[in-house]
Amino acid sequence: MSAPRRIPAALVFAAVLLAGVALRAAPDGGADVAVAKAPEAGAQPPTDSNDDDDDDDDDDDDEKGGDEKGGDATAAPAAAESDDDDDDDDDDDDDDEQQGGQRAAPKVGADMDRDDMAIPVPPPPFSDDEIFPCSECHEADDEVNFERRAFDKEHKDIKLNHGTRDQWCFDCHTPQDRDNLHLASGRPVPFERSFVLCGQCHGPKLRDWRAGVHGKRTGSWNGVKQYLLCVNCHDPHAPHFKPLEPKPRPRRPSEIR
Amino acid sequence: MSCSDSTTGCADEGRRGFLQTAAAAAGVAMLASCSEEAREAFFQKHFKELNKEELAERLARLERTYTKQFGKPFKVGAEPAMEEVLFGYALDIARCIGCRRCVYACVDENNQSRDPQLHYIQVLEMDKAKGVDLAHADPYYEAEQVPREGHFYFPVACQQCENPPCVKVCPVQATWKEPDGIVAIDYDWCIGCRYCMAACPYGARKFNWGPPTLPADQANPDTHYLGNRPRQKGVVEKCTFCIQRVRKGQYPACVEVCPVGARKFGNLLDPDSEVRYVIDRKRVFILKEDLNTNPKFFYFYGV
Repeated sequence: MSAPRRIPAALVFAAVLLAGVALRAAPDGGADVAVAKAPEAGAQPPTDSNDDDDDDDDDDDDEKGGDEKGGDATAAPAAAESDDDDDDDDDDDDDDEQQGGQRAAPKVGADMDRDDMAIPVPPPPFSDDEIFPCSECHEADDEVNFERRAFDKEHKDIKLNHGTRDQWCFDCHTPQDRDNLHLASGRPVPFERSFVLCGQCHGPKLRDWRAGVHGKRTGSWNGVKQYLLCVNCHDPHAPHFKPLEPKPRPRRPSEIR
Repeated sequence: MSCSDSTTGCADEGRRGFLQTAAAAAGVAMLASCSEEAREAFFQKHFKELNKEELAERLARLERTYTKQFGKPFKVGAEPAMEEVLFGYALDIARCIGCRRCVYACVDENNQSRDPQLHYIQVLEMDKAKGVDLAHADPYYEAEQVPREGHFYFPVACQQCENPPCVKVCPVQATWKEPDGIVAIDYDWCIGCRYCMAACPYGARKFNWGPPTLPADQANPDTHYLGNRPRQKGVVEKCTFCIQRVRKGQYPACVEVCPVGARKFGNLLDPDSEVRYVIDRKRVFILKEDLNTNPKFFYFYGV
């Protein structure tokens, strides 16, 4: 049964690849030089027509490694994810340009995509009630230690295990404005909308989360859904899911009387 | 046959007549001795043949029975299928960690027997090296913590086939496919022959071998006629996508409890639904595709 099916599947795959190449090349160089420009275009894909490729890359990763079990994205290939970064950053830049004049009176988050502001999310889970606002302890003009180190006085519960070794607090937290996070572009992001920050590296995850596919949903399948922030499930400082104790196994038939 | 031919023939007819009268009398006596509710249950019509009033009567009778049995008010609904809805389910096997939260959330929601134990969801532990290989899957894994190194987890429940073999074999039409795609069972019509269990290639149907025990404090009183109303000994039951929840727009209980968000549910006819998003964009497969059962339960993996 399955052997004859493989041939059409391979054909379809080839067709999808060809279509992808054509779509990618078109916005860059126009249709007349599409084929010639394809390799360059592939290196820096400008449109979201590369969704298929994202999926393929990341799927392979799942198959091989599989230690993504907990729903973590750290092992996802950088190339695939950066595609979506480009998209997001493009959007961001547009926003910045449009709203450049309003930057003088910044209300953090006010310049974000309206769709992102509309998604209802629960408040971020701070480790304890008194830890926020951070500015209670951290002043804007405090001296800032950029050295990567273990904490021995405060924040001892934080063991940073996220991304590459080069990552450090101020990639996400803002030294001069501790009560907000910031994107790579420097644009501030409130803690309540931290998923925008996560999404700049984990683009496909953010895309799926917006659609309701990544992460847990409760509520109504045909009505209002309750979203969770990334950090409601993933510890932002060590996002890989912690193992859980399973519930008891079912009884074997031999144990049933 | 005439009686004048032989005396033995006459004796036969006499005996037949006597037995008929005796049986009828015994029947009348038996029916007279049972309660009105038992009599109604005995002479009930098939669920699909009921008109509005008869259905309301049936539900009211069951509510009275369950309320008496469990000592707390029970609601038995029979919400019909919504228009333009075909339910589908998607499960991300790259996310599932095998914690079995879904198994027990299902039991709590659907009033399964606690002893003898009856689970709709079977979580299979599989070897990553072997892939989806049912011959080497273990539903009885025990572990301090999951996921275990080198394993992945594969929950199986009713696949809600579009072409359900269980429905074809039922000799009394006690099970059928609803318009929204849910394969439903009328527990009061099931004769317990278990043909459907033999026909189901997914092991999804479960039989009440003994009288189900359901502690009153654990019973979920919000029920549906074709779903989680209490069952009796000798009938078959199975997952109904939580028919009592999904027909009111809620997610099934297993979707809401899953700690890793591996379970997705929605309307296959709605292009914006979560299941359609999964089917359109992820690597999706169905279990035992070669059997042409056409399940509406999709396994997927990917970003």
